[in-house]
Amino acid sequence: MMNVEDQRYELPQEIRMTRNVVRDYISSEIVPREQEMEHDSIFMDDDMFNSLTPVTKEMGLWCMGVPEEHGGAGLSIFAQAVLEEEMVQHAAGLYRPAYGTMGSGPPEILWEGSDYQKETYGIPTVNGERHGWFAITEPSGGSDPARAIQTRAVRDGDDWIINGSKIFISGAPWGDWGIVFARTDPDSRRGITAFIVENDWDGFDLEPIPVIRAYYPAQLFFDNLRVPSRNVLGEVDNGWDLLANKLLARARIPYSAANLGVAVAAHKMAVEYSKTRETFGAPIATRQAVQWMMVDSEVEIRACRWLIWEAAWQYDAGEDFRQAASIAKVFSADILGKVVDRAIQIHGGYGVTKALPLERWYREARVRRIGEGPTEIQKMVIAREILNPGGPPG
Amino acid sequence: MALNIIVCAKQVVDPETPASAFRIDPDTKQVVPAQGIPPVVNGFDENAVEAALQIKEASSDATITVLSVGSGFVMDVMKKPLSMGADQLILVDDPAVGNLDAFGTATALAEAIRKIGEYDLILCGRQASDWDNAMVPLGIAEILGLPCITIAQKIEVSDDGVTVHKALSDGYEVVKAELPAVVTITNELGEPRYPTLRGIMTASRKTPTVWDASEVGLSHDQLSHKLDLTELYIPVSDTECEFIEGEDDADSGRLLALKLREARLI
Repeated sequence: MMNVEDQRYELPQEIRMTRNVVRDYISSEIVPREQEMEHDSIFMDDDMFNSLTPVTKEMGLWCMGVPEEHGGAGLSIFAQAVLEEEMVQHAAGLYRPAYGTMGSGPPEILWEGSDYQKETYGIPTVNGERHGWFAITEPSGGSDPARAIQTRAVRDGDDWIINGSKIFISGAPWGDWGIVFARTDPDSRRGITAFIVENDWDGFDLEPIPVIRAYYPAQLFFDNLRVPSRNVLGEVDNGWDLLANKLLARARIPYSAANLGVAVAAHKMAVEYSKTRETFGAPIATRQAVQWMMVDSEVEIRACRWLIWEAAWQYDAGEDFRQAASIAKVFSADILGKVVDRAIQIHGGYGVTKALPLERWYREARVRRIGEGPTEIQKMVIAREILNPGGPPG
Repeated sequence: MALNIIVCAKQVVDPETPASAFRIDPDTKQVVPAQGIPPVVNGFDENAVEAALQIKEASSDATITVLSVGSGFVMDVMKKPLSMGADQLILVDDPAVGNLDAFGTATALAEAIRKIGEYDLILCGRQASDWDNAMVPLGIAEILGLPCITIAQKIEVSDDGVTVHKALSDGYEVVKAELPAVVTITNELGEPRYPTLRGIMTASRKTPTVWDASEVGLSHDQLSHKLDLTELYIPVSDTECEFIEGEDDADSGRLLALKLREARLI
């Protein structure tokens, strides 16, 4: 006989308690400092940053996704998703969670590399001494990297020579090394290899691209960029597995959790404001038109949270999580835009002022339906699994 | 030196609750917890936990017991001192002690401390953020016959007893007492540390000791209210905004000063 009481789903106590700590850290340390900063800030000043990092390191929440043996907290992707929802609840949170004061590890696939690569690039990045990025998208496209990657790498003795360009690369303007996916076998769709390159090497150039958000990306140019063989990440001609399976699909889970967190923050602002703003002698919260907007946001936020958690559970259980991750990504990016839009509507004119974070989130939210794989590509992944469950990825 | 420290901690309504979500029930004269806003450990009590941890770090052989009296405890909240580094948590959890006045709370805590038996130092927050009475620690000291030093901004324990820097409005005074003693801690002691991930993992595995009122030996008479709360209400304040406009800035300033004097504000 199934017992209903046994089927209560709730977060483990340690995750709930850690969530409380992260919530406290953001509201006590980040939000008050942020209120003294420029509206579109993406960095805090060094003194402020350096005063906070010992705190998060002591808390054990530094680089929470990085394995413990490499100096991180080694949390499951599920725990990360729950905490990410809290970490992003401040003005800059969508693109600079906690202003980096909780650490920013290297792209996850770096840990698939050699000891040399981990020691030269991974560990210093965990320690905050170096900053990494990764580059897939090219002017010819990003959604179909197997075809779009035209940047070529050709072997030259013990080295490789890279020529080509990457575009819309986040983090590269402030990084000093990165992972570049380049074509090494022109006869194969998947003949792609991952290379670790450094920003100050000869043959590497970078041009910032002003965009709708403050955290701008860059176009990268490789002109006979010479890369030693020891900087090949993984196997030659086998970068596809790293790219599609280990980098892109996994990243969609924390990316979705960030979308959710900012939606939650905007929704909270709307609810609070609706109770205090009066029209015609009563708070606007008493108006059905406003109530229904808030109801839609509440429903979407709750649904979104479960979709993200489902993808995270599947990932941690070692199951095929790609469809669930795409579903979470499509839905979270969509509802983020809707929830922020409603919050602005409820705030009226104040909603679009730079005194509040809502207009910033409105601009940034638009990027989220494009970044990390656009909605249409996610839908292709979802459709493929609906029509051919368990079939090979395209 | 071996030292048994008891920290009294209270679960309170989150003082950061937005005003629009704050509700009271005038009939029962109680605050109605806001939906979706969990309670917190009283801020000054977290300062007391921090003081205990600093004493423990300075003297290797100290045990910190966190004690609370009430009902409807939220365990994620009450385990926070454990995740900061306290050793054990004892809860007197009973509807009979859920809505006590300061005398009742002091009595219940004092009886629980007697039941614990071994104690050298009892630390409390200087006051609780819900009622701000600041009476309970003095009550505990009175019932147990102990010295009490209030509003400590610094505290040190030695073989001679406890030395406290007691905060004053224009400085501090140094007060000493023999142990055992009750000391109340103020926020000038410093920010309480954040729980660590390791501490949270440890705390989540610890099971608090839970006693009901009868196990502590509390009788109905001991807990009856000595204070009557006659009315509980949220004050209504009207705000009016008046723009003072003069011929220039200096004139505006002059007119503002006149207005403020007229209102007897300066």
